[in-house]
Amino acid sequence: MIKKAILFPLVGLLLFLLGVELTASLLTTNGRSEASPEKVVPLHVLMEKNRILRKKITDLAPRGVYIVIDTGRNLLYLREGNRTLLQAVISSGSGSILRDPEGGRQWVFDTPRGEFEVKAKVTGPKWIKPDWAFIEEGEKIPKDWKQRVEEGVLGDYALGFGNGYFIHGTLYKRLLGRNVTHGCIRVGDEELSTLFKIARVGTKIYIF
Amino acid sequence: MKKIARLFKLLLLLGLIFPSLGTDPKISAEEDLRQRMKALREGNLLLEAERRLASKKGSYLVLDLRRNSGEGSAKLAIKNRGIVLRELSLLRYSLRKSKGFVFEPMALAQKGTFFPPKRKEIKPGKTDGAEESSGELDFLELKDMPTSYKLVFSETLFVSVGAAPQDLPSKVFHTVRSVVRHIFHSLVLIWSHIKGKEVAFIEITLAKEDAQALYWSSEIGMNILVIQ
Repeated sequence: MIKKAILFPLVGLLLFLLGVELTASLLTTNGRSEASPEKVVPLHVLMEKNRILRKKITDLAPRGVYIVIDTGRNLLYLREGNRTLLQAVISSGSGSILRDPEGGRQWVFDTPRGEFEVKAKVTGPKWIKPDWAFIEEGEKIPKDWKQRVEEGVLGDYALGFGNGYFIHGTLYKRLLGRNVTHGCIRVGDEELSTLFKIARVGTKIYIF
Repeated sequence: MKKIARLFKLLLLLGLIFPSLGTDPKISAEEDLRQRMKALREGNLLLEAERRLASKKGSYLVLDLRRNSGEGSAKLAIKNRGIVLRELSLLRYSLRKSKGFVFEPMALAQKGTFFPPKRKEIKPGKTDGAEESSGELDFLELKDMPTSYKLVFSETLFVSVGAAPQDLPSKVFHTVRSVVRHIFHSLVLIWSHIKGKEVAFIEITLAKEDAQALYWSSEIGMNILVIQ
């Protein structure tokens, strides 16, 4: 009796699964779907179209050197075409959240992703501390802007890429390779110097 | 007579080994041309799709499922403006799709995982330096990303991503999950067919760090182009 009570539902389940599998296999394919039928186009026209399309894609790629930043692995590459000219270990955004206890403001410290370009090159950069830097340290936000200026924390050079984000040096070299920043890209001194020499205003930056 | 029979046998054998010798070279050339034109037509459609993606701002994914096509195993590339930012090798993949489903660029609508990574909230008054000295660094990093998750593109393409299992228990878990997922996909395929909707399921296995990197890099709205 017990055997039947187990056997019947089990056989039923197996038959149901078999039915599902058979029906699904009739409705599916893992092959290529044929492209919709097109009017016959001569071979040379297809080849020319292929060449034009390839050129159009190539034309979208940056000319000269460009910077690629892998925020997951914390690596920066300076490339020209498919050639890597420089590889550097970096620190990028921590992804942390900071809330202003006295106001409704909130900051998320992510490194922005997408396509950017070098907008400014600065030698001996000074850090103009934003509001979040004071809130994070539990200090009062100063009224005098001079109290916001901090020297020597951004290294010898900085490359600005918009919205207050920079590729700059760091005092925390031990943290290179980690996601610890407020969104900027920290680079070691030697690599930063090379990067600063080669990159120009307008050099494309790809962050992912 | 024996010689003729032997010659006939030899010709028959050659015909079996080299069947094309028996076919009309004109027909063979026509077939080659047709195949070449078909490949070019399909290639142009893909190039046109990629050109559209590359001309937009933002990174996109190209999942190339062609095997032994001269470029080695199947690959997943993170691209921007036509340049490869990073390429991930697929250890394994499987594809099931409704008949007639055509791969077109699709936008990422959802990232699904049981344990999504959580952002850390900074407590004011506790700075970088202090955390560094006390060894309490706890930021969101690649290692915190899940190794098993689902990416849903345009509500029609479901990409299940998993890391290659390392030990026996995880291998067993991986197999059981694949079977359950297969049955579930079958049910969804039948249900979608009833509703007149076409869907596709791709299951990919990557190295652990690559699976985490894909979760890290994929953003809602990001497009994918699948090449089969």
